[in-house]
Amino acid sequence: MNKLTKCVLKNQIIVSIVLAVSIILFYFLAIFNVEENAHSTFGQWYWLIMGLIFGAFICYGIWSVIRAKNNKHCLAVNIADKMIKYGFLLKQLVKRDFKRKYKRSVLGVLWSFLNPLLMMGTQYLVFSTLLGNQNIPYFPVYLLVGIVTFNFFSECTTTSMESITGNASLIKKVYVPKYIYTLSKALSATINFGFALIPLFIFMLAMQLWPTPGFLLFFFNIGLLFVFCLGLSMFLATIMVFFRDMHFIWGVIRLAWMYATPIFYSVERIQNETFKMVMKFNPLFHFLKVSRMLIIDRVSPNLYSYLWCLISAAGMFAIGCITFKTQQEKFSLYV
Amino acid sequence: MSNMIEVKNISMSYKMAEGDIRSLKEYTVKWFSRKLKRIDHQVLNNISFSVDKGEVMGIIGVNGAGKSTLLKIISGILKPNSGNVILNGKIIPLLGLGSGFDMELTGIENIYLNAAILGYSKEEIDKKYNKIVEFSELGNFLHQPIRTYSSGMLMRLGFSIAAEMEPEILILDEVLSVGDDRFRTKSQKRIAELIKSGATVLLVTHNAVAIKTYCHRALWLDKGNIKMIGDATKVMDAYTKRK
Repeated sequence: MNKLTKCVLKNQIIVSIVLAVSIILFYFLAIFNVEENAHSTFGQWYWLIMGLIFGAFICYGIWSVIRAKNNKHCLAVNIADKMIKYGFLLKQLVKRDFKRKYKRSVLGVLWSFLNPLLMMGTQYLVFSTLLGNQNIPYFPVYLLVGIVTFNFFSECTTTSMESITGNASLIKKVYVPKYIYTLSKALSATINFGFALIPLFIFMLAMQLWPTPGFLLFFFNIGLLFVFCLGLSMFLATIMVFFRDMHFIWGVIRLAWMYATPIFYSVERIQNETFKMVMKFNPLFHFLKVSRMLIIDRVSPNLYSYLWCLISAAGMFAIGCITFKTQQEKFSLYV
Repeated sequence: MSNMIEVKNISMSYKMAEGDIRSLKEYTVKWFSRKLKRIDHQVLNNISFSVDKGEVMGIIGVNGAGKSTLLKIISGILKPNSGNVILNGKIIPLLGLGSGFDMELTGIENIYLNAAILGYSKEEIDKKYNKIVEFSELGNFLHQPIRTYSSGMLMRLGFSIAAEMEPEILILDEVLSVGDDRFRTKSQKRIAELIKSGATVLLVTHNAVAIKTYCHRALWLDKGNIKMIGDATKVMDAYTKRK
């Protein structure tokens, strides 16, 4: 069994196990616990649909391993091939981002941890003490979830925007699939997010919000958020190559988006009905809602919230991929 | 002799807009004033040739003939409008002094980044690491960020990596001229060693002596077309005598 086949087989086994565990967990955490009729209407079909999806995936897995053995190609084989070829490069790029970011700073990596903490402190002071209490329970945790999520979104999109233009010299060296550069920036942002979760956990435990098993769904939500951000990053990185002033435009959009997301306020207090309706179309609103319900209220949110998250993530990813793939041949000319 | 490089019917044209548009503002202004005419500039026109394993092919032509574009297409950096290139071995292109490097990182960090970009694994790089350092003769400068390097030093770093990782296909685009005469002799010797062990080399240079000494065959590119291809000495003589 050659290296490629081994890799395909290993990928298949890992993804199959993760998929099986996720399907089972999701049922008990999301569908079983919700206090609505979701269980009766969707619950019965859940096992059937998921069973079919899982079965199809296993069949695909077996077929792709056979294809790999015969040295033929299919999507799973291509993915494994790219992982083997470019895995080390991806690691190098992420390492480089960290070295660059903290090169001449004193506290270094600690900033990924301190920054959300300090921001939370400031916003807590302003919105709780100075502007009057908003009667939001567990306000520090409420704030932290918002800050940490939005920081991830902001960092991921802003650094990835420069992923192609900033790597001009590497792109002009030799052929490497260009999405590797954008992916490396997104992964760097994810690692920073990981560090930022530490203050969140500290405050959760300090305010006695012990995590329930439903907390596992938080990571599922973050996974969807990652896919959403990656899609948007690819889209922005593509535009940046052709229009260099995207940098400034995105700065403004990002600021507006921050105010349109309930990070330091609660949607209930909004009096403008149109704004409340527009809020529904803000994917970050849904991601935050799910995260907060899982951590603070400790129940699983309505299935529609999950659906919004899933559709935003899938849709944005599709837009990003299509834009990137269609324009990527022109990058070397403009970069 | 098996084909190491096969170039089939490559055509490439650039759409040049009047002026270089880099921002939305420029684009909108030009759109309104209807100055967005795109001129088609044919850089390469149906180029086909092949290079055997162990052969050294020189590519000559006046500036703007399309040599660098051809090399970029062979390296996979640019995608041609039509045609394709088949490579039967691992390629290391040396197309410019700074390509493949990150200016903020040190020489050592760049060795790993550069080799990773070229497709080598950590084990392969670790094996050759000491030899690369030795060949470059950069010593303690390797701990400095490479934005402090001179062009000669950059070339040494890039060439050392290429020379020690022993590619099957080596592409040299006029980079060796920045080295001092001692390094040039050393690098020429190393290239000769690589050729002896079966490497295929594509060399772009204006240096007639280099073409006649190292190349088996040469290709004369003129305004995107192959004007002449054949024995290196014959082609070089014809090129030198052109009116």
